[in-house]
Amino acid sequence: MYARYVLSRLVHAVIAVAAITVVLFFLLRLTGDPTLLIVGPEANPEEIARVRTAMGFDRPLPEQFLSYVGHVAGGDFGRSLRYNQSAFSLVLERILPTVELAAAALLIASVIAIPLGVIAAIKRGTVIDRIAILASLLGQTMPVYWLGLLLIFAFAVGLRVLPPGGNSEPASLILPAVTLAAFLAAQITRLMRSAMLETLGQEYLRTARSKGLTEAAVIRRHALRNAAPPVLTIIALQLGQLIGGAVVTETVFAWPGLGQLLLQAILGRDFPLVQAAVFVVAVSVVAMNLLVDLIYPYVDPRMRVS
Amino acid sequence: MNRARVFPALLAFVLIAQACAQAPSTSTPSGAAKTLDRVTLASPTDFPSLDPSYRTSVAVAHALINIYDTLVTFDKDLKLAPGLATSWKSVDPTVWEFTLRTGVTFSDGEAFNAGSVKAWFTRLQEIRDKALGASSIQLIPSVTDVTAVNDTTVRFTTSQADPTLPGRLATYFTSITPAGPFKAGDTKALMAAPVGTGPYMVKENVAGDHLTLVPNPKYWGTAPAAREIVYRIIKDAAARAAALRSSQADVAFDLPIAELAGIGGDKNLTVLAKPEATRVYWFLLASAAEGPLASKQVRQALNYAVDRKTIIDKLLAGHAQETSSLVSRQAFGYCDVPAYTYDVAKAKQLLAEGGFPNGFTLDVSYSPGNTTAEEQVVQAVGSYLADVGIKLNYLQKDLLPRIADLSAKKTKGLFYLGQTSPLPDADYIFGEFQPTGIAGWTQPLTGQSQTLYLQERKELNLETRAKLACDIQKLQRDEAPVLYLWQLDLINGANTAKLTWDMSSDGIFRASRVTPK
Repeated sequence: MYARYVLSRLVHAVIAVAAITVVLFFLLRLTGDPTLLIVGPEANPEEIARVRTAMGFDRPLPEQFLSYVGHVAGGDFGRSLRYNQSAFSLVLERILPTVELAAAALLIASVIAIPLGVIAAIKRGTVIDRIAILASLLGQTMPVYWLGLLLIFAFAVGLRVLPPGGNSEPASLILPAVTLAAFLAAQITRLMRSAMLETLGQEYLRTARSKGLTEAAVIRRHALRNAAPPVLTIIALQLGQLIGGAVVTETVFAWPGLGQLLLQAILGRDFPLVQAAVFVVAVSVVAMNLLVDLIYPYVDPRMRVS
Repeated sequence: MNRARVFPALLAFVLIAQACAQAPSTSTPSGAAKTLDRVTLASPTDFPSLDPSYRTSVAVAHALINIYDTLVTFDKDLKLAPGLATSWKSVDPTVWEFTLRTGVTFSDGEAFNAGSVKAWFTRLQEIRDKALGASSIQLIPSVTDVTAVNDTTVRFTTSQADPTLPGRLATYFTSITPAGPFKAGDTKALMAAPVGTGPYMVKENVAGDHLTLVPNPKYWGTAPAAREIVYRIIKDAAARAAALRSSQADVAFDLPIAELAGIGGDKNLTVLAKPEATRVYWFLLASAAEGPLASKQVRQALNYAVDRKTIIDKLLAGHAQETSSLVSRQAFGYCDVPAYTYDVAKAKQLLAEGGFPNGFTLDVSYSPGNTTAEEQVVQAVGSYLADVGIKLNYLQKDLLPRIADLSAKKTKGLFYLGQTSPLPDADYIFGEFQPTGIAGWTQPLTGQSQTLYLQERKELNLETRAKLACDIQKLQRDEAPVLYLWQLDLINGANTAKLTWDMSSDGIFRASRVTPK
């Protein structure tokens, strides 16, 4: 039963990645011809035409598509138009710093937000709850760019205790991770609080208490476990999205991650690089979804039945 | 570990790491000149290709200039000076002869001689003919052949007399490359592994993160003061300023005006600002062949309608000089033509004479964030034009797609542009107003201006050429092919407690002009 479930999720994942890869090809071509971006603004029309032909951008779209599918099927995304290096290698070089940043941000966010959300739900209506709500509101509404610069000016320019950017030393991770964690923590806090509130009103908790369990045990063993699945889903999905989506944070902190590379590739119409980067991001998001699907039955026994 | 101790421990770790990072970075070995251990530069762009034979962005010049040498070079005042060539002369109207420096080798050990120059030119031709990319041969379009007379003499033959050739051979994209790395057939070998005769060579180039240069032990000139130069790629302007202010960078390029007060308030830092000699800002009038912009009176009206001085004072904090010339003040051939004054009544009168007393609507194409205060400048110009009845449709796009649209003649109306000219010479700018140049795609020089240009471009007498250039500027001031704006200042910042950077007005970072404090 579980094996069939796993197989079905895997097939869906492969179809999703394949669909994204195909759609991306046509979407990119809608953005226009990248030749001018290769030859630069000083090139004359003759030169542009010559390079366009040499790069194959003047060939019919179906012909370009077949060539693209053939290469991608063989794991070849081509060479970056801008960097003249293997597009896939460039993406792989950048994935590690991005995963590092995303993981650190998620860790910080989870460590802060899960207890805060639980406490806010238990102490509903109290000052603690209001502070938690206000903090999560701030975290979600504060522009990442602004928060990033604020932290840079406070800790790098003012106090001079942390580097303002780059990733040349371990301490460089702190400010971008905290910046990225602020939004995530806000989201997780709100979700944790509402999930806990819903669970705390359930009959089975009354039963648990009537069995003589301490309140801490009731919360830990029964309430938290039942409130966890939606939060877990969000955390996993966020990790997948962060791999391609921390562009602003990476830019402000000059963090050499995939988000920044992808942005530059899109602006420069570097088709091979965009294709390779989006493929990796798509695989990451789909993989995280798959992981959530696969571990759900372990976290929530009800899922095993369904 | 006790939880109460975690934070102090973390803080202590960070402070120790910080202290280590800020260890003294200048040193004076006994008996040697004072050196800098490392100079860190906050750069807005990365260096995807370090092969000068492929033209890329001007920003790449900050690195190229320190790795390679050109035959001729610019001194601090942008006057021509010897580079790999010690002297040059015109031996015939269509032949320039260069005498080469002896005892020069590339960083990989290959000897530099006349054969190197010949091989370099052949390669530029190959890049163009095989459409491998944007060949730098476009910077020397008149050259038809390069001949090695002997090991130290090389001759350039041009299709017609070209007085600008020595200057063109001083621009960074005409840096001389060796022949050796291409013998295996890889035409892009130098992109990732550059080999030049310049004072530095590449130690590491991590795409999008940093580029590290170290001294070239085979360099023919005086050894540079910095033992290591690190270009840290920081695309965000405020973050570059922060890197400078937190001592993580010693020099920061292209700072935003909003950050200058903070930098100026730090006694260790200095804002280095001077007019950029290689760029003039204007709006191209992209549909002048038809509609209102076909009228000279209307084009002049646009120029009278804008209060440049107020925009410079209020939006650009005084960091610009208004101009009504196509040529930058520091370039050869610049002529002080009368500036368009702010005169609403005259603008309205000219609009009426041009047949548009009630104004009209124009598109304006620009790229917010591309140049200093671009969004605010365009909006301000729009409000002045609205005062005389000209309404603008604001169209935002990245620069290169905008240029693609311009090339395809899809752009109508105003096109905001900082027109660059790697060669500070009026001739280069007039070349941009030919059908093959960006301004010429919509506004080529015509009539008397074109006749004078054809004379100017082959005039070897400097005085006569300067006069011809001046006459063209006067005619073009009257013809108003663009909405003239200004020359902006280059705005960089440096930690002047640590080093001195003798910045030239092309703003290119020449490491040889950096000295320890």
